[in-house]
Amino acid sequence: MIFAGCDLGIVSAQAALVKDEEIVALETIPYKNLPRQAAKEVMEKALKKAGLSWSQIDYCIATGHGKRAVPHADGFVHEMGCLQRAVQEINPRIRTVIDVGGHTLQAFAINEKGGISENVSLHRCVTGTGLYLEVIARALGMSLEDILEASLTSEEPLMVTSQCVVLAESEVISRVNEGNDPKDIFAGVVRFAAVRIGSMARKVPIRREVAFVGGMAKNAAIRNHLEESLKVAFAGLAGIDPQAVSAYGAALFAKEKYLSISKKEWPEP
Amino acid sequence: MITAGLDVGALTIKAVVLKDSEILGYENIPATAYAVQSSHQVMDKLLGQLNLSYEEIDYCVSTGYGRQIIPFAQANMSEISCHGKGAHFLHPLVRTIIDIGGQDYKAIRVKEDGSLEAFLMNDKCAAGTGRSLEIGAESLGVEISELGPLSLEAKEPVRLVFICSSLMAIEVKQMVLEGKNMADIAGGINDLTARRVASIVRRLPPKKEIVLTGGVAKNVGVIISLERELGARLVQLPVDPQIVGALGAAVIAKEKADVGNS
Repeated sequence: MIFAGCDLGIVSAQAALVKDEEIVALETIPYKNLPRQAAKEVMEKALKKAGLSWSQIDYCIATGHGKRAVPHADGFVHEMGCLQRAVQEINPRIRTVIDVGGHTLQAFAINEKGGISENVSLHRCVTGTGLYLEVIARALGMSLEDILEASLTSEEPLMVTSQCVVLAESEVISRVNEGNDPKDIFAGVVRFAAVRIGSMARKVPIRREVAFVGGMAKNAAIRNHLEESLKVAFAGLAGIDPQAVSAYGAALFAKEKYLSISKKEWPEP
Repeated sequence: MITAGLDVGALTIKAVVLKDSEILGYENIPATAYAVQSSHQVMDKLLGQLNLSYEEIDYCVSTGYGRQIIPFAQANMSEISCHGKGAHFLHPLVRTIIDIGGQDYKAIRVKEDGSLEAFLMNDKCAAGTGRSLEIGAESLGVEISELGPLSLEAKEPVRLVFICSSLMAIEVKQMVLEGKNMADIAGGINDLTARRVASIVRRLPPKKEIVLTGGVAKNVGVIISLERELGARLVQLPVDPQIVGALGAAVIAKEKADVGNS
């Protein structure tokens, strides 16, 4: 039995394939054009990796902002639900999940029964997300990877004051014109992002263990700032790409959903 | 008596020269990171047209983000007071001024004599500002000046989900790729601006007459959307809506010079 999960965001798409109990593929791609094509492309990539074909997928659940545009979806589950399902599977001791992706920030608490007790999400503003760092890197005329690496060596991070990415964009340009080093500016921007993520996360009670997921969880500088300010060490994710956790949760839902439908369809004895 | 007003904004710099209570001329240029240099540039240009020199200006007041560093200004005033004064000078019945600038927007209510009664502003988020319209136009692949006229052809303006300008940019690009009607998207971008701005205007609350100033007042689509959101007609001003702040500064300069002379 093959179960698929697809998480379609606004700047990236993720796919997960689960065969019985085992993950056979986890893929993530950035995209700039059509969400529908990105969903198809990432799933094809996952199928290829697993040596499978479209027709072998028994059930697929889509999640994320663009879930309704996933062409091969049999059903939909909210992103927070998928994350909760996935972290429960990965490590049932996880009590707090912080998720920062390309354009959203959210955090939620998981109670002893495994349900979501408190949650907070910031969907209206990208400050603190991956897109935020990307826009500022572009304003500084560098790729995100290069400027991130350079900023790690900054000894004097320069704090930005604008809370909005668009206003921060012109603020950093003025800072460059004033003769400041882009690496110091970006180090300040990274710190600002971490502060924003931290203050959002504190709105749900932070209880151990804490998982940090989403594309931004791959950013070492953000992770370090956040671990320091929240005074926690983030839980491991059993080798699963933090960006693909939501797609993995969707695949787990696909399996549950398929099995429950199959049961109903069996004739009563 | 000749007075001048200078409005050093985030995206543009405006200058107005008054002779007693008559507008002699005005000028408007894009801003650079160097406010002092740009303010000289706009003033040189305007004084050149009017055949005047700096020495002939009796009093100059500056306003806007860069107002404190202008060497030829004798005083500086907040944009709020200047917009109130400028609008009242042009249209004495105006009680509410909505100013949408490059990087902020404000709702100002004035008393019958033009003095400040209440104001609200947003300078925390770019959504609803001129910059956000610029980003919308860029994503749509049109000039910002085309957004208004284009939106008049909209049959069913789209409703944009994202407020954040950088997400709106992505949403607009995706709509273009999907082949959505350009006029409908332009209408959606203007509507988003009007929704954002109307939310603070309603909190003011506004009194009639209402006027829209700032560069965005040149966008007929935003005017129509805003009129619909507020359920009221907006007064049309007889000058470039972008110079109202600078005009107010020149009016205040005249008042200050009058006090000094008496």
